[in-house]
Amino acid sequence: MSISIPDYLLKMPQYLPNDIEGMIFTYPNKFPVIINNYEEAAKKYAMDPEGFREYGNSQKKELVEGLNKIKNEYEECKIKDLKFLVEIDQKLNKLFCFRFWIVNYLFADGPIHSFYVDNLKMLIRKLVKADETEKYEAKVEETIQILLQSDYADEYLEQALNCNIVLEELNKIDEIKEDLNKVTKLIDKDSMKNMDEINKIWSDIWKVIDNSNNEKIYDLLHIALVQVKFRNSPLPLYNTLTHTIEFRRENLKLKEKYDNMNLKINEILENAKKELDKDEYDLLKMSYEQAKNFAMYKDVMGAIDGKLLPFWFGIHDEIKEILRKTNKNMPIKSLGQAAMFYYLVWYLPEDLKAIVMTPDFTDFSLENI
Amino acid sequence: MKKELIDITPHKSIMCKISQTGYSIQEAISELIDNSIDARLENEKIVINLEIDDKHILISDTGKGMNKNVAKDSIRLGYSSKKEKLGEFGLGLKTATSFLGEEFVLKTKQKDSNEEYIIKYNEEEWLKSGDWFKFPFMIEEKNNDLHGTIVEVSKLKVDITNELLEKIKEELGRRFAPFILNNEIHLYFNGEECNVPKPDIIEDSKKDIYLKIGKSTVKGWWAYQLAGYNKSYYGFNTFRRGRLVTVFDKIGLTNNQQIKQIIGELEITGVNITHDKKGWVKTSEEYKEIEEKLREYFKEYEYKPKRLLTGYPASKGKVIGTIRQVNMFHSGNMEKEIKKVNKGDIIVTAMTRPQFLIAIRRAGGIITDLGGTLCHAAIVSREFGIPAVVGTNIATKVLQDGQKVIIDGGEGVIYEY
Repeated sequence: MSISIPDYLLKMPQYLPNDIEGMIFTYPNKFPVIINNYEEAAKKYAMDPEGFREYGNSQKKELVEGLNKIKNEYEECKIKDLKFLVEIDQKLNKLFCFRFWIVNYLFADGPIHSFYVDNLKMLIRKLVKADETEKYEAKVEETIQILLQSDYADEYLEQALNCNIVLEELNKIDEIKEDLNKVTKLIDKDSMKNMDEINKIWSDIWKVIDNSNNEKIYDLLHIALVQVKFRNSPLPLYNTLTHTIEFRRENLKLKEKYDNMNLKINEILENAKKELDKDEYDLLKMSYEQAKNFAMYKDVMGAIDGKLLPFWFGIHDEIKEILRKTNKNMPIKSLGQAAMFYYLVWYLPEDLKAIVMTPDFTDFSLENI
Repeated sequence: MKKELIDITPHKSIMCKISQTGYSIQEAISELIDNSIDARLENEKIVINLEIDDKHILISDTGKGMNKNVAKDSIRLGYSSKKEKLGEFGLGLKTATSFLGEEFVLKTKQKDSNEEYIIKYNEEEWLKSGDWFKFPFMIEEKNNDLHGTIVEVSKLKVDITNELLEKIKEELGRRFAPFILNNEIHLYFNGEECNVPKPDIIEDSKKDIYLKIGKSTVKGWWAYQLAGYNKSYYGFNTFRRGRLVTVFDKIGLTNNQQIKQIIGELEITGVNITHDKKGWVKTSEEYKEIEEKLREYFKEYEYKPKRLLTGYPASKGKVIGTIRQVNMFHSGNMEKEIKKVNKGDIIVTAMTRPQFLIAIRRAGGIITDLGGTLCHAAIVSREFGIPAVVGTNIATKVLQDGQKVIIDGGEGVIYEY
């Protein structure tokens, strides 16, 4: 195989399209070692799908272990003063930068990803055949969508597909049949206007499910249940249940579509094998696999959000509360992971400002975090 | 010159061949419902029941039923005593039943009659021993006030799947919308009443239209549709005498519809339809005149709007909708934000999050400040077929809550509405 990625694409990027908190400007300055770490990983795994998956798994493992370690430290501490809280935030940033950011942002949104997506699109245009321009464009678009979508179900799709099974499970419970009919009618009539009434019925239905300790339903609704805990409100669950009914027909169609995804992808790749030169086919296959890997690991890593973010945002809230006592004019802003660098640091006392704004030249290790 | 008189009695196989007109199952069933509608009693609402399982298709109505002569003629090919009605060609019963199954039974009775007339047709028997001049016609004594007609098709030639049943139910409501809305019929499908699906339109764009061109008329309404995915899903449902003739008919619309998606319903009179009732006779002068007038009428509504923003084209499709600024950050009030999004609205957000799934599914389109091919918004919009433009950088700053825009997810452009 003679695929090669130009060297400049394996360097630390200067810009990332999903980087709302500007981490691409902060992290390489705060943790300069990340540049080398990423560039080494980029060289190693840019053209090694299997290796990338292993790398992703090891990063995830250390991310979880690191988070547990920092959480324990936080819980064991008796005096949680501002200095301690800032240090915990910095540890979280280091963990996030070295064990999350590389896979979730630098690979998934960076230049290597763009290289593969561009090649995938270019080769699909070469592969697809049709008599008329409009048919050709439609076919190109469809093929791109299939290969970029891949056969992997992300959290959005997983929720929608799970809803089919949730509905089957709900229909099996005799005690809730009447309520289920009632709520279905209300949702079909107008799910927005009837929301209060709908949520009341879901609350009754959920009591029955909770009493029967239905593990299967808990498992299917795990994404919503994490949100229930995180937001301390049952509404994320009720929304998901409403979605189950409101989009039941569409969800069945989705299932059909994704059940056939593997077949469609194999068909496209088989056709590509016949139609394209060997080098082109290899590049298309690699582009498909890596685009799929990058999307998949965005989700694999993102699964920690439910655990990581409430903890981290809690720390930020505590810091904010302390700072507000002395800075009444401090504006209220939406906080993300990197809030310390774009918001909180401006209100810290000098010594803590120095801690935050001083570069950390050490590499990440679980032992030293 | 010698002259001979020859026998041109149709070959018996014509009874089977007439069904090969490229019907869809829904169209064949609609032919049978047409007959029921034609049989409605004056000032009385007719109840039409359609029951389908994998073995039978049964259509019964509470119409006036047929008298003896009409019942006898109903099996004759091409015979129709109806003028200016839906079943004017005298082919529907035979073509539809023959398309759907190998066997059918027709039973019909009028209110003041003590007789029920029965016709049984079996394709195999007909081909083996049928006789154009000796078709069995049965009469059974019935002393009751019941009236109406039942057609039961069996030994089905078509596959009945659950998906098809869903489709039929939805389509019947649309096909017979004028009759249902006029309170002329109650149409039930497998025990459930068929309702007219509400069109996804921008309500304040809805306009009535009435054009009179010579002896022809066009009456109905049109509006910009709220959500649309496939570029060909726009245009008009056209009706003749209350019965659907064409769907997504582009009569009078130009190619500029790529930007604005007009949908509506037009009742057209004075133009002939093809004998399979699936289209208008486009070569007729009347049709051409109507097409020209409509084109003239719609010209002013087809302007190309101004570009507001561009971004990365994440998921194809064009849609008009109302901007809803939604804060999907973890620190935002998720419930309050979800409540903002009505069906068909266009979500404008910095980036999407999985826990906002219900709002995303309700949305007609998605616009984000950030993102590329693999951002959540791009992936989710492709998964659910929602037009999306991502990575605009400034959408949350530029687009105002409540503002109406057109989003073109295929080109990555947001237009002014």
